[in-house]
Amino acid sequence: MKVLTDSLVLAGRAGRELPRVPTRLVFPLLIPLMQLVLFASVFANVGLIKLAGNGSSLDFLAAGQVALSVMVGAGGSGFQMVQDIDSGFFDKLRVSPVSRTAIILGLLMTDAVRLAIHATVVLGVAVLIGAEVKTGIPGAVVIVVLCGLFGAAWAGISLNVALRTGSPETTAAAGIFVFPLYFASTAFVPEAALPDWLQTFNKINPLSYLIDAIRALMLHGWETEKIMAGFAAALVVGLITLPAAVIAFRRIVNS
Amino acid sequence: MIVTCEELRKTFSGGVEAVRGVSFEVREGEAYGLLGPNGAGKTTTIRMLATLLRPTSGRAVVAGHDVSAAPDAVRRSIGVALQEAGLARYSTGREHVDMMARLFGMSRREARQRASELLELFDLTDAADRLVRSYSGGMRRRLDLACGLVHQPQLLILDEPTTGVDPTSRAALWEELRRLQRAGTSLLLTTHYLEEADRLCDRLAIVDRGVIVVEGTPERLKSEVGADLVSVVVPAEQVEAACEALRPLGTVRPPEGAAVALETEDGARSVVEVVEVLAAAGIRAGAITVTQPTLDDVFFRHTGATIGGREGEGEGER
Repeated sequence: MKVLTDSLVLAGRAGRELPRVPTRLVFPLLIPLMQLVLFASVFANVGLIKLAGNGSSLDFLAAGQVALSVMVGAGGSGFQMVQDIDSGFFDKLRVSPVSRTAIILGLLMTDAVRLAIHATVVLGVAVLIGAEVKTGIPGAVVIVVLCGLFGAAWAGISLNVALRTGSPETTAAAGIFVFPLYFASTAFVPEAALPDWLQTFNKINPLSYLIDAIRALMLHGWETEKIMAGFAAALVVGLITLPAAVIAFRRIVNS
Repeated sequence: MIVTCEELRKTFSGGVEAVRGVSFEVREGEAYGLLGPNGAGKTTTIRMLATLLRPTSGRAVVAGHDVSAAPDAVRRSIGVALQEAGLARYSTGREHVDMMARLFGMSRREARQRASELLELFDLTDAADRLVRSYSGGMRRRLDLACGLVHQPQLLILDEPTTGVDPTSRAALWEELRRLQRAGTSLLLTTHYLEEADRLCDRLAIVDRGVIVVEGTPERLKSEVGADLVSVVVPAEQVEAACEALRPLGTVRPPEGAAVALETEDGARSVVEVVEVLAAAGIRAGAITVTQPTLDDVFFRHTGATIGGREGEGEGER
C-alpha cells in the first residue's frame, strides 16, 4: 500500500510540474508531426495503398508517427531523473522512508500519462488532416492506452541510463538509439515489403509490434492477435527495463 | 546518545579512502560539529549516517537504530539538509513541504496543515505558492530545512548548512537552528566555517584527511592552543606601573610601546579585573582589546596546515 500511495504522491508532483515545463511536452511532438504532414504528401503517389492493402498513405504512416512521438518522449524520461539527482532532490527522497520502488514507479506513472498525451495529439492531428480510425473512438482509446503503457516500459531504458551514468548528456544522447529501430521497423513499409533480414530483425523489434497494433486498429479493425502482440511487447520491454532500473537504483546506495 | 559511530570507514570503488576510521558520539540535545576543509571526509561521514552511503566497515547507530541494518527506522528519526538544497525547482514551496509530509506517512489533511505551519515558521508563507526556481539561496535553504522537519525528527543532520548563503541569511539560519536545538532537536553538522563551528556547536570534532584529529568543546580546544590576550593602552609614563599592577592576574608580556599585554585563561572575564586593578593603581586605561585563539589555530596545531591552505589542495569532496 505504501508503494502505491508514495507512487501517487510522487506522480502528483511530476504531473503538476508537467505543464510548467512545456518544452518537455512539446519537443517530442515536433518530429512526428512534421513527418506526419510532410511524408503523407511525399508518399501520396508512391503506391503505398497497394502495399498496405487499403487506406491512404496518411492512414498507413500515421501509426508510425504516433509510435515515434511516444518513443522520443520516453527517451526524455531519464532527463527528469538526472535533474532530480543533480538538484539533490533525489537524495532528499532517499533519506525519507519513501518506498524505493515508488521513486521509479511515480515517475513512470506520470510518464505513461504524458506519453499517452503525445499519442493523443499525434493521432488527433492525423485524424484532423484526414486519417481514419476504423475501430472508432474505442479503438483510439485502446491506442492511447497501449501507447502509455508501452511508453512507460520504454522509458525504463532512459531511466537505466540516467541512474547508471548520472549524466544529462549521456541520457539525452541515449534517446537517439530509437531511430535505427524506428527506421528498420514497419513504420514506413509493410512487413512483406521489407528485405528478409529486416523481416527477421522485426520479429524482435518491439517498435514494430507497437506500430502493427496501432495500424491494425486504424486500418483493419479489431485484429486481436496484433493488438495483444502490442501489449505483450510492452510487457516484455517493461519486464526487462524496470527491474533493471530498480537494480541500478539500489547500486547507487552501495557504491 | 543520539549518534554513536565506531571506526566508520568508507573506501570508494575507485580506491579512494574518504573516511579512515571515524569514531564519535553525539549526546541527546547536543549540537555537534565536524569541522574541516573540503575533502576531509565530513560529507562522506554524514552521508553514511544519513543512510545515503553504506559504510565499508565500522558501525553507526543513529537514534537507536543501526544505519546498515535498519535504515528505514533511521530515516524516520532524522531530518536531513544536504549541501545542495534538494528541491524540485518546478514545484512551489507549499507543494514541496506537503509532498514530503505525505511521504512521511501523513494524511492529506495533516500534511496540508503541517506544511502551513512550517512555511509560517520559516517565514515562507508569502512565497509559498511561488515556484522554487524563483527562490533566493537563503529561501531555498529555509525551505529545505522545513522539508527536513516535517516529521519532527529527533536529530537534524546538516551538511554545510550555510555555504553559499549571504551573511544576513546565515545569521538568521543560525538563530533558527539554535531555536530548534532549544526545542529538543539534536544537531549534527559539518562546516568549514570557523565562526559557524564556534557559535553553533557545543562540541566539535576536527576532521582532516578522513580521520578525527581532535575533539572537544570549542572553548577547550582553543584554550589548549594558547591563552587569551588582553591588551590595554596606558599613558607612556605609567607602563611600568601598569605591568606591576597586572602581574597578579597572569603572565604579563614585555610591553610594546604604550600597550601592555596580559595572558589569561578567560579574556572576557579578565577585562573587568584589568580595569579594576588599573583604576585602583590610579592608572588611566585606554583602549582594551581581547584576542582569542581561533579554531584555525587549533586546526593548525593538530594538522600543521590551515583550513584555507588545505582547501587549496584541490580535489572536491565526495
